Amino acid sequence: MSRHYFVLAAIFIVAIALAAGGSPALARNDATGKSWDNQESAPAVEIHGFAESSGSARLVGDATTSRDYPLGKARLRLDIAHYADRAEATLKLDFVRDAITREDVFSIRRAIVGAHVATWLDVRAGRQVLTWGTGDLLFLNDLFPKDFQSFFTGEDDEFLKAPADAIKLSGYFGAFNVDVVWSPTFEPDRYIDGTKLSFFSPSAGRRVSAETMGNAVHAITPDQTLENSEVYVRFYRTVGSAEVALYGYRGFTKEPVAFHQAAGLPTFSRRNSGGASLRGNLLGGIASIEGAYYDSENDRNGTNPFIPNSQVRGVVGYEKEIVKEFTVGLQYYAELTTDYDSLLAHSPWPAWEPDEVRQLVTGRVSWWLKQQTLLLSAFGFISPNAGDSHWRFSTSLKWSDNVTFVLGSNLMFGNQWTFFGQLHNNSNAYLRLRYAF
Amino acid sequence: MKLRNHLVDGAIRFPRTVVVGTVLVVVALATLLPRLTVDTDPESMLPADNPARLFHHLAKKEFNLHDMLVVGVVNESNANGVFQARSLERIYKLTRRIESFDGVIRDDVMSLASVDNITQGGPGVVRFAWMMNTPPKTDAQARAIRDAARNLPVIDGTLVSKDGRAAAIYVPLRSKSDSHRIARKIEKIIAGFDGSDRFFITGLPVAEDTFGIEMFRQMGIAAPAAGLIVFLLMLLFFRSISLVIAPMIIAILTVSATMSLLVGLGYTIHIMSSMIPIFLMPIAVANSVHILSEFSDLYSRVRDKEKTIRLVMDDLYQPMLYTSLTTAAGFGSLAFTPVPPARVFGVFVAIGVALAFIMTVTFVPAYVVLLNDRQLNRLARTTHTHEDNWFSRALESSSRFTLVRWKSILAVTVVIIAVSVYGIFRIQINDNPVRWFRGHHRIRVADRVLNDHFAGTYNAFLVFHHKAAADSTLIHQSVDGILANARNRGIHLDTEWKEAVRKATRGNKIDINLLISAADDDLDNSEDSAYPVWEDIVNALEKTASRQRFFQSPAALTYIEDMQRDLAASNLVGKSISLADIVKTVHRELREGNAKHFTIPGSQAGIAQTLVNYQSSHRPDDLWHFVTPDYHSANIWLQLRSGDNQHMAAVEERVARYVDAHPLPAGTNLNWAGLTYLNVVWQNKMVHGMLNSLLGSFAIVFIMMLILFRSMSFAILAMLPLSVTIAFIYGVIGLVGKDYDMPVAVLSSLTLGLSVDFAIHFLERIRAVCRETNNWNKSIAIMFREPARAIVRNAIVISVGFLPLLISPLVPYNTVGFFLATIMIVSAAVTLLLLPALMHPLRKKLFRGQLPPDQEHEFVTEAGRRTLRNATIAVLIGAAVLFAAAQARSQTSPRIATIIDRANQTAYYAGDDGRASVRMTITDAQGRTRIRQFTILRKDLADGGDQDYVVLFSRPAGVRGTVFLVKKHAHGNDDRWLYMPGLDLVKRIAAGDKRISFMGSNFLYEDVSGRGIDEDTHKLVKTTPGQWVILNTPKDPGSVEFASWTVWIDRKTYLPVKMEYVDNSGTVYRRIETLAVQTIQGHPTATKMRASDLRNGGNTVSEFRNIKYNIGIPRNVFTERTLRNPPRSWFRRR
Repeated sequence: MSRHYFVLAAIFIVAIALAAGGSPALARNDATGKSWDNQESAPAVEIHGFAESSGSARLVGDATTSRDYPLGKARLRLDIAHYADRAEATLKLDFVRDAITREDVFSIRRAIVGAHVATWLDVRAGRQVLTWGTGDLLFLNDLFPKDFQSFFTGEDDEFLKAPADAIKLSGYFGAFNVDVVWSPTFEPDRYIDGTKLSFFSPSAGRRVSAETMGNAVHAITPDQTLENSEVYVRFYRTVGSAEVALYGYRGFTKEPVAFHQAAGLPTFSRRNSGGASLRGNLLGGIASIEGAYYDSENDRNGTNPFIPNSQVRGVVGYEKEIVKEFTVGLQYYAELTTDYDSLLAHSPWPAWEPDEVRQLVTGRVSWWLKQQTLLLSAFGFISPNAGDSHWRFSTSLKWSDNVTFVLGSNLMFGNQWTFFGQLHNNSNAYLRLRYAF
Repeated sequence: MKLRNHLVDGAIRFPRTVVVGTVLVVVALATLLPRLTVDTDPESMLPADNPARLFHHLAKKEFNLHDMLVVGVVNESNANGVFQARSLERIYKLTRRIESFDGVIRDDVMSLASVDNITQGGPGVVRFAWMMNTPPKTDAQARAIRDAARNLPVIDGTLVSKDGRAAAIYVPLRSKSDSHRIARKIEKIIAGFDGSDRFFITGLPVAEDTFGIEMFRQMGIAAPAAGLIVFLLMLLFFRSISLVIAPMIIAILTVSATMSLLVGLGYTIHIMSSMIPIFLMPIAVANSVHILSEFSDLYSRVRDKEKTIRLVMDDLYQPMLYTSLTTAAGFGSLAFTPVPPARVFGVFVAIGVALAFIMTVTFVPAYVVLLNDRQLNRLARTTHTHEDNWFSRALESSSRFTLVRWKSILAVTVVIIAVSVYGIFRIQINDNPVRWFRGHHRIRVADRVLNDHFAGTYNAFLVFHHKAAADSTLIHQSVDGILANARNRGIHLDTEWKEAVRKATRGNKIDINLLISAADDDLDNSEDSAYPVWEDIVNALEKTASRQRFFQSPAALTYIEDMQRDLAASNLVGKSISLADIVKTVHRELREGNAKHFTIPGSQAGIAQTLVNYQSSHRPDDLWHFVTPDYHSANIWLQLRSGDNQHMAAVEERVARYVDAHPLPAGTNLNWAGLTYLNVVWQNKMVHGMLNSLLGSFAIVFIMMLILFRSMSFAILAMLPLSVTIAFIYGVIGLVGKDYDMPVAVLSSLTLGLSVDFAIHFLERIRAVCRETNNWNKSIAIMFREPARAIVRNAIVISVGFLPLLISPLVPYNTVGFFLATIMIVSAAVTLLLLPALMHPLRKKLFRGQLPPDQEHEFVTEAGRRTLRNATIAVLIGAAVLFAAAQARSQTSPRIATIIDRANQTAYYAGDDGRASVRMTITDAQGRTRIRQFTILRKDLADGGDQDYVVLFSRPAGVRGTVFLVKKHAHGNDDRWLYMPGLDLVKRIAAGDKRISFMGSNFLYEDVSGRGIDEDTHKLVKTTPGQWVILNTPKDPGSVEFASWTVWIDRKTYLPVKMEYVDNSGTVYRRIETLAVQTIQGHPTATKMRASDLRNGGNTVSEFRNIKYNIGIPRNVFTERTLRNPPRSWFRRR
């Protein structure tokens, strides 16, 4: 095990040396003096990154696992970029020592080549993180892969977004702009598979984890054919100060919510979606509204219990800075499952099916203090009809430009079959320390 | 009833009310005096928007030029002069001390102890080493320094004297107004040195600043001294302190009321307005002397003070009114000169004259009535004995003389006029602020000594500007491909392109800059499909334009070199330095110091290479004093040995002729800058302005005389004394070789106003006397009693009274003293001798039929006509003065809304768009620092209106790549987006409050994008020579955390210099200061600012670099596209 730390340390040292040599910007990061004058010409290759140590501990005993710590990671991030006038190449590498799985992971978070092909066309190809939409931690039309394991174990919000291998074309026209993302292979969410977080299994009728199941959830992913590639589209423009967007997606459910009867394993089912959003200023704050229709292509009448039904989702939100540096945000979210009667009629576990209309109210409070070096924030998801909730509290202190401490907790409450309640035993408090360079 | 009777009767009937009322009004006005602000900068002789002045400032900013004072070190007792170890050590120490002074541009101080020596370091290598890093230990080392310095053309003659014995330090100043203070500090250090070195300080800034300071000292000495002598002389004539006090009171009241008004109306005291008291005093006294003279003569006979004063006022009211009107007209005419300070001066002297008249006809009678009879009886006794003293006898005998010798008098007059006209043609128009000091003044001494040793301490700059005019083939080549490609895609833009070319064609040349803006217009108006094509076209054109680094080309440098050679040959210029000299010097050292390589390399690449070498010296920025970094502008620094305007004008002329003979390279233009040149510009304006106003007021006075006397002959007679006086004075000036300078120019109006006075009194009285006596000889005899006595007394009181001015160390004051004496004596002599002599042969014609003219007119009575006429004149003159005052006011002090508007424009809307690299260093109360570094792009959608900003962060690492987009709405909430690269998330930011920290710094969003002008009420609380101070109070106090804020706005640049925020308890809790300003592409720009939190401690310093305006950022840069994919070309290109 100690060997791995040697490797990590070696990589870290090499990276620092590289960065120091390759990037004058880095070498003088802390210099407050005159070096700025000489720093005008950007280096050919910029190297930045951070080293982070993070860990979280369960606050509630979890009978399904012997692990008291859902998170324990040492991460070295190298962010290598080269920017030319009409093209760019960027690489984000993560070297992670995961104390929970006892693995050393090398992951590429981003590796893209981008080109400004014409004044109206940008192309980016490679592994990239993508987002769009207006919801705050609620994703309707943003069907790019997410990492919910990170989200609930106390990692930085950055890791909620998982990268996908894709080609993104962005067209800019006077009347509207368009983004087309083509992901040749299906990239699912990093769903909760029981390794770090326990969850409720309807078939077992209780919370399970990889330890209780013997292995982590394994879902069958669609074949890597051209037919099964994912396409994301967005048309958008700004009208006055309001942003209007239309979205489209053809692909699969991002979670293994379907069931492969032949293999007896969860799998992903076809899903197409279309939606729209509008966001703008209202009464000194930001108001947004977004809606989406999920078309379950293979179960349009909701009769197949192994394939999720079509859904209509909508969210309205409002965010306003009510006192200086103190922002409050509220969202109301509703998710309507179509053909609900048919769903219940065919469901093997009708008692544990979610309500026909799942509702969520979210609230966010962000309070910047000490000249924006201390951030106190709280985010709560509350479902009034299912009675479950999720609370995210965090205190983030920027000790200096380089060093950041974050202390926080993720708390989940509710009946064990509810969306957040099933994660109750995973409630945790976390601490992160990051040194950026 | 006539106005006259109202005034005089009222004063006699209610004397106490008049006296107390007058004093109260003046005291009330005097409360305005504390608002006094002073501006002694001669540059202000030109309106702030004068093109030459603007260009001068533009050039100063463009080339980082500063006003400099020159410290010269001379040692006469040593054969090597100051080039010995001890002396150089002193220079070394002095340099280091000077560099530490606040207000000195440290990096630009030029001294042997701060410049580089350039030597060869082997073939193709040039070495830069400090000329004098440490003081030399031995005299031999000192001589080595001298030899090294003399080998460098840039500093030979500048830092080392031509004879190799003296050295100089050039001290660039942040502000001219600091020069006197800094000169004092330098003198203090010098006083601590021993040894035989002599130090001198000179330079136009120090001369001008010192003049301003001494001027005020003189104002405090000369005016009271003159007042005292006038008082003593009057006492001598009238022997009654109580009576003589009256004119003194009027003089004091007039001066103080006028100055209070001037200050109260918000005008600054300038060199010229500081002379108002000196001008007003004699004018105010003159009328009272007439009254007192006549009163004391009459009282002994009448023995009733009320009756006497009524008689006196009957006689004198009309002539006094007209003398006051003519004087006011003379000065009022200055309101039409193109020189703002002269306008203010003229208008306020005119106002003062009017005030003096009103007080004379009310206050003096009231005062006299209040005197008790015992005092007046004593006066009657003394004056009665005077009736036949030598003075009266001499006057009476001269009456006979004028009648007998009238032919001789006329002949002598003709000769005097002839000689004067000859003299006038010899007048030299010339000025030099240094010569405003007397010859023995230390500044004049320093000026002489230093200009003797060195190439000259007066600076002028010849600024070459090349308008990149790319040739048309090049332009077409760069664009044709783009158009062809577009055509293949079905986009036909050829017609539009041709139209753009046509629009940009001037003569047979295409102006590429015009073409770019034309293409830009097309870009803005283009349809979606054509948009990218136009964008490509604009980019291609800009590339072509930027290829033109003209002043790096051998052709341009050779032209400059040749011009310098011509200037050197002319002997007009002590020395000139340009980019060519730097290139040649470095080139020589690159070629092993071989003198035959003291040439300009033959290729642009070669020049560029020498310049790159130069850039590795200790003072690489010195290069930018001679050429702009884009190589579009360059200058020649001329050092002149004299600051005489004539000298400068000769240089200007020489250059103009040279340019005629050797046309400038195509697309290049040439302009002058520098204080020495500016003085020429304002002087020319002054001379022409004064001449016009003199001619104008001459005509006005003549018309007034026509109205007064209703006789062409009398009007012409009235004009004679003043014409002769003016001719005589300017004749003398021409003959003795005194230069026609600023003070002389101003005095012409005084001459005109005062020298007509005696003629009016004399002619008005002689007509009345003739009507009474019907006898010419008898009338003349009477005229030479009281009237002549009054005239002569007046002449003596004023001419002698102002003699103290002659001993002032400031030449303009001497000139005023000389003028006053000459005006009084000459015009009195002409009035008393020439007028009778001329009237004698013409008496029949002049007094033909002694019938009062009013009998010939049946419909209108004489009295009615006079009242009507006087009222009309008063209205006309009043209107003219008001108009002129309004004119002058609008020129010198813009309205507050204009100031705020312009300040807002300057601070937030410079250019149409712009880019800057910004570094914010945030220091918290504990002293820990954080850094925010970013590049900011801005585009104005409307000047003063909506703007787009986009900010790309590069530091700290944690926020690197974060992009911040703001669509600022002048009215309503801004739209803000933040792109977080880690999350790939475009977040819209709730913009509830603009008064929150910008990215955790002490700056607020509102500081970055500007606070809406309409959100506060503004009040101009103070005007200093350099700044306006404006207090801003929020209209909606609940919306902000402050109670009010005060901004200091620089009057030259309109940049806010300082802002202070006050809370409800009146405490200043927040301050923003501008720490450095540069002019970038003509826009004054704050390049360093600090925001301090005074309550909790901590501050943020923002520094701006790589600022560029008008780079033509397309609107589509400010969109979500930029947030996600910042277009590096816009963020990086410089």
